[in-house]
Amino acid sequence: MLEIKNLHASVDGNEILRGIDLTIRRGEVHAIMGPNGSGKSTLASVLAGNPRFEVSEGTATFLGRNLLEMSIEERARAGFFLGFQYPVEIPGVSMANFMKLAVNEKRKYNGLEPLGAGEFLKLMRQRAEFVELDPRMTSRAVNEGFSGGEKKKNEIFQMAMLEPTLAVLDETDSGLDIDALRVVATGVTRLHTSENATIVITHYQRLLDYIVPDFVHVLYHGRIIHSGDRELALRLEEQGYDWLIKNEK
Amino acid sequence: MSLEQKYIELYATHTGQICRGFAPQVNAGRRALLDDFLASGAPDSKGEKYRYSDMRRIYGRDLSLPSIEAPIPGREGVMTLGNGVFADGEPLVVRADGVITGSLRAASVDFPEFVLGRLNSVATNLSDGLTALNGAMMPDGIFVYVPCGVDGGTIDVELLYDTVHEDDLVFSRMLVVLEEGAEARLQARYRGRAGNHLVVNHVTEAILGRGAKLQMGEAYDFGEGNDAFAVSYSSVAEDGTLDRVFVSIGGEAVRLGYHCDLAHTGAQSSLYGLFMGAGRERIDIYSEVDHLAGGCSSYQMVKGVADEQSTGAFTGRIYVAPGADGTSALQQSRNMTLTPTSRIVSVPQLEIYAQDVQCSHGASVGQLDREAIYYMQQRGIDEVEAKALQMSGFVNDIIDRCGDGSFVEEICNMASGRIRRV
Ligand SMILES: Nc1ncnc2c1ncn2[C@@H]1O[C@H](COP(=O)(O)OP(=O)(O)OP(=O)(O)O)[C@@H](O)[C@H]1O
Ligand SMILES: [Mg+2]
Repeated sequence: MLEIKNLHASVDGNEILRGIDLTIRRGEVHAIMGPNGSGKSTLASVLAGNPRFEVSEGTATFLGRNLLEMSIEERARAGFFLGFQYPVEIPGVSMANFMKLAVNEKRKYNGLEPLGAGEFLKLMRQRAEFVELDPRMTSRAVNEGFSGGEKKKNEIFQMAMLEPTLAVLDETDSGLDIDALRVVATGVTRLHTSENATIVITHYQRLLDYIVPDFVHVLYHGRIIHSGDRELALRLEEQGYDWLIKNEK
Repeated sequence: MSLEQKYIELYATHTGQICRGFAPQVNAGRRALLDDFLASGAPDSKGEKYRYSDMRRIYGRDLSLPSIEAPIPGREGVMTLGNGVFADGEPLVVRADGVITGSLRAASVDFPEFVLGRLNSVATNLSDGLTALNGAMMPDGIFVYVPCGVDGGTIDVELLYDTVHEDDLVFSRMLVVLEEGAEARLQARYRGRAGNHLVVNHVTEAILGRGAKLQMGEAYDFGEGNDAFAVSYSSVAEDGTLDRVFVSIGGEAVRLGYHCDLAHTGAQSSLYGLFMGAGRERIDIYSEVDHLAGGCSSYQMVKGVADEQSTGAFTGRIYVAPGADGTSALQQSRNMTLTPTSRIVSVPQLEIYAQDVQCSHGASVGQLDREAIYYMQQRGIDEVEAKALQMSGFVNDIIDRCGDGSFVEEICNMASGRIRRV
């Protein structure tokens, strides 16, 4: 469903992605690992369409369409979801209002009628339960005053509301306590079907005990320097990145 | 002809129209007020108080008074003042509980001593020529009286400025008196017909007795191309509470003044406000709270949004008189400029002569948050909608204070109309 070929991207004239090739098929879970600053979040941002980044070379095809030509919101409505490494606060805008708009925009895109107030509330309550999110959070302003862990949980809650075809979760595991990690990870696993796909960006093998990846990729200095199965993640946990990076040099 | 001469002539030729229906005792005071105006003139932007509004330029235009008649019909259950003149059928309604509402001139005839004793009693700020001019020229007004211990309920008022000719100067007035322990909620809309180049001069006086509670909501939409000067003076007695909230959109140059005297121990006031400018509009808010006795508290939270090339100014003056110990006075000014060509300035002025005073102020000017817009877009919300959502997030806490029912709905519509333009 997603095919990335030779993707190069830069910010303020600095090339951060230097030729990414990646293919994601329905039903798959991919993990992307790599040292700090290697470009993992940049890749996620470029796929989401963040205007800060400029794509200088390469292609990305999503569900048969040229992803790079679609607007940010179009990508989202077509089923692309980004779980932010740093979720943004929107003062004064309630989660409920925000999600109602988002859900109905997506429905409109898919030719569906907007959800009525009752149906929406029901959906919201059910999905909040799903990630064990305190339902009172939904009446608060988006991410405002949320703790670090609550913000991450809230990303997965939004994912559960929007049921994306392809979700990229950027370090959704960081900042979660042990129980929250389990809840979030099982939530993600339960949302996974043979029709959708998930990319998890993480530093810790721990998350992959819950969300078992089909592929593990190592991103280094803007390139995928190594791919393997979940055994690779275990080895990285033990040995770090040095052995791979030395190879690269 | 000098500006002053022009107003002498305007007054002379329209005396009959202006004075009609008022008690002679009230009319007797007009000439002195006109002299006060002539002595101080229309303020220009050189003075401290009017740094952001040049009233002399506005009042120097070739203005005339609106031709009378063709009264504007009011809405059901809403007291209406059309071009300053009371428009509804019954000029004065005396309810069984003693609450009196209606036309100011009718009240001045039925209760001359009462009205005379209160009119211009709080609006005595003689350095302000435009207030004095209002006292000289007002053709009528809204009158609200709530007797001791009575809850007057919700009182709806609408002030319409809809002249036949362009370049008219329209005076309107409001006098609100709450006796000891009285309560009321007043909801006022000010609406001008767009494009008539009219100039509004409005003065409100609110007098609160001991323990009286007044909630006052005001929605201003003076209309594109019109200028307005609307100022209110209130005094709050011992343990009285005045809670105000206003929302202002529209108008070429708009000056809103809020003067509040906390006159005796335990008096409280709050002012929540929102102004939203667009185009080349200029809006100037001047708020002054005078803590004249100890143990009083005041709170002000005024938010501003400036779009396109509009400008806004908020001056918040807090005066704590000698001996007004144990005062608490807080003031917040929060603003958003949406374009590089829009501007909002915030000027706190604190003057404190007492001990043990808790006084603070804060001001900020921000822009739309690009990251938040991107975040919303990533959830499928387009840029226009995302901006609107963010704007509503900024203004909603003020709008939510406008009570409930149809009034807050009207204000919501006003504000969202503005937000949609972004
Ligand atoms: N405006 C900029 N100018 C120059 N370099 C930048 C700019 N913005 C980001 N970068 C760099 O791009 C690189 C990739 O950043 P990115 O956030 O994608 O890393 P990451 O792999 O997600 O790291 P982490 O694991 O710490 O989250 C970093 O070295 C970062 O400093
Ligand atoms: Mg990152």
